Amino acid sequence: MIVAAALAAPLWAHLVADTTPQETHATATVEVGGDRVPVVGRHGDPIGPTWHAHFFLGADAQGRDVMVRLLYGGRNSLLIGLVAALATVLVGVALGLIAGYAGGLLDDVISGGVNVLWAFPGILLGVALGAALKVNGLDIGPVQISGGSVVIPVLVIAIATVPYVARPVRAQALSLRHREFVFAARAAGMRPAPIMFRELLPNVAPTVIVLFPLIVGNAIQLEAALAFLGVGVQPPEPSWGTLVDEGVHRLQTAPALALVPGALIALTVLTLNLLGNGVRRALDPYARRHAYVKQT
Amino acid sequence: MLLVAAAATWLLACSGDDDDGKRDRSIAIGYYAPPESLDPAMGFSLVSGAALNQVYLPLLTYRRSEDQSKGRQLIPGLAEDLPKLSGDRRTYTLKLKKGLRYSDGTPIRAGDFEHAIKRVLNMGSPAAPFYENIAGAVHYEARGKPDADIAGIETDDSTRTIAVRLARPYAAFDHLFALTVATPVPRDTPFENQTTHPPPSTGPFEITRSDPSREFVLERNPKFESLGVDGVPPPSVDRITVKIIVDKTKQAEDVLDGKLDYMYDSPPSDLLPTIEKRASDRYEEHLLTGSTNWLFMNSRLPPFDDARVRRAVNYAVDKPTLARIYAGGLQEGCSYLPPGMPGYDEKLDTTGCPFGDPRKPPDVDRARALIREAGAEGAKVTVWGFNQTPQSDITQAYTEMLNKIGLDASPKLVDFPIWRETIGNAKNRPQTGIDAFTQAFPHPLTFFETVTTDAIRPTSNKNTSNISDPVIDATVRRLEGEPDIASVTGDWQRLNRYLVERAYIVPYGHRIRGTFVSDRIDFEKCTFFHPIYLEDWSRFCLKEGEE
Repeated sequence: MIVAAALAAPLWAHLVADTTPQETHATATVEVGGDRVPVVGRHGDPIGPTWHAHFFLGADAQGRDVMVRLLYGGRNSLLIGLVAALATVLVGVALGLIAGYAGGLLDDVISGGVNVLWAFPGILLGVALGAALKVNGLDIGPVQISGGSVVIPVLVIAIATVPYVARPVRAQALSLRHREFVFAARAAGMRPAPIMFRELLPNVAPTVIVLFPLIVGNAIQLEAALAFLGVGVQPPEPSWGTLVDEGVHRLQTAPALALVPGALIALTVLTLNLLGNGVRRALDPYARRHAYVKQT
Repeated sequence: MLLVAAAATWLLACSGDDDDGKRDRSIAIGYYAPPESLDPAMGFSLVSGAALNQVYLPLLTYRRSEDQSKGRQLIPGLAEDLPKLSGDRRTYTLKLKKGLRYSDGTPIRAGDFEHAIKRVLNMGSPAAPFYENIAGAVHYEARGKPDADIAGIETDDSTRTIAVRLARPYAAFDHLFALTVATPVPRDTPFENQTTHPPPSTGPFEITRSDPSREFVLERNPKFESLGVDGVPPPSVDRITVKIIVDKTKQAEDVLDGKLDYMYDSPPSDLLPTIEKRASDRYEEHLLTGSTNWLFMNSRLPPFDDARVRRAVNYAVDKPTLARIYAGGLQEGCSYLPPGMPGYDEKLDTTGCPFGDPRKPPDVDRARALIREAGAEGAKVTVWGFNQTPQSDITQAYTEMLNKIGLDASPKLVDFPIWRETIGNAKNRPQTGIDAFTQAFPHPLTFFETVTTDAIRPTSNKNTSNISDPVIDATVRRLEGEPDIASVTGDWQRLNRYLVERAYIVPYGHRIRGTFVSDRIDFEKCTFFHPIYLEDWSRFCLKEGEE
């Protein structure tokens, strides 16, 4: 439901709340219970929840509609989480398969790089990369990404979480490379790349599929943390993390500003973890049999 | 055992008393950021200045009066009288008072002034550019030898005279004798930042403990009253402990609960309703802070190299919205010079603003039409600001205002410590963003020197709009040689209007400061808001029974 509501944010914003997530209404007034109330008071105190279409959850310090920002922010957080997780899986699986299958020097180099990344706490690595890329963006040959782009947090999260996929995939590839079907493929004249992607990949796929929802949840959490520390999604673009960051300054007068996006992050990550468990049970015959035995 | 217990009880009973048997009068102040320096040569920011003004009394000072014009009047500090200016308006002569001593008892000598200026120039103080107009100062800086002579400063310890010769006349130079950076310091003070061991004081307090990242302590200067400085009263409290508490909300809560007696910064907006409810009798707002906030537009870069675009932005900026985001901390305006400054025109801040009354909604349609006329629709614009409340919100709101008139703007927020350097670096191609200035001294030159062609630099550029206008350059050059400010106030007023009409910048208001003190402080009798020094800590006094 959260995912659907967030993805439909433009419909909500334009048709229901009649505003965009960036539009400021600091000097406007809104009708609440028959009275006209300022959206932002003289002392900068924003209006609280009206429970109507306009300012359903109230406004922030700039007089922006919190509900609209929450929906757009959710869309950004979910998209960043999904895209970053996809990038992590693509790169992690490729690296894990190559390292595990090739072995030798190539394995040493790839594993060494992955281990270096693994050694850094994810958040620290994310903050360092985010801070470095935030102001001037990325400009390497044809690849040009501006500092405020949402691609930056995607890139940062993908780099920071690659070891979570690459290491288990490598471990599996290492054990699979000595199995009969791999020897048979080699004897039939298959080249290493087709062996990795036609023979090994289907065997590591269940692990990756189980890991995927967990990585999405992890990416959403990391995005929120980076945004809270000012190196994730850049304002005025909302994300749940930036909304928590903005709301923290107003905990006294408007606690909903920080608590609601915080609760949505927690709920989404919890849901993705449950989804991960469900997928694992569905794909793992041992777990299925164990569940069946328990039921009977 | 009994004897030990009795002695301990006696010690506890006496712990708050001084030698005369009077109660120790101590207060605690909250700072949201450590001062960048407590060395008088290096501390030039508002945060450092607030403390240093209590400690270092220069040769001249400002009359201690809350009245706008009286408070801006220069009076002798350590000097016997105001400086005498030579006929060619280039030489200032002063004489030190007799028998002056620093807080540690060392005699204050005329040559100490030259030592102070040498430290400012040699140590790369942020105030150094002000003193580079002294004859030979640039040469002294270039040589890099601390003990070398500055040709334009002549002092005589025996006659206590100080003569300063300028390279060219500079109307505001007498104000430079009143900056704490120019306070005499003993000649053995090293040419190194003395923040942790500040030089002995000449003002109402001395710094007795300094760990600026955590706290520092000011104590009453025992020698101050013997200096005989008329117009600068001795302090009402004995000790001030300044604590660094980054969280302003925590500071305000501590002031509410009496754990702190005053917070240097205004209380955060989300606590203002609580303060209004619980402590309105000890909170007050002041407009006359000598500051202006504006939005810079780099006139060397597109689309702001087109005057029509700059005018469009002036029409489009919604100043009431920006003031609301400042949560009561800003008065909408249009004037570059702030209220109280000679040359300030109140009408320009209200109905006389060429782009509409700043207290009313903006003329967005007119702005859109100008953008269309200039062919700037869809022009990419980066808006520079920094990650602090409310400046981050101001940057975002301004971005949205630019988007509303057809530009394609996006904000770029950097951390506050690097913000000034970032927008002052031409390599970053800063197009537009937030900017602000607070007077270094009450003379329009302090504002206008930053908008001349000479002020444009490739790095550390303070002329962020890159204003290069022959009328401004020529007028500033002419007026900086006029020592009688009263006779040229009209010229400054016209120049202020000219700058605004040419739409080089978008002045959007002047800061309002909130003074908030604890229940221990006698708010009615002992809070004092000076037009230059703002809250004067030496005037804080405790209510009876709070000592």
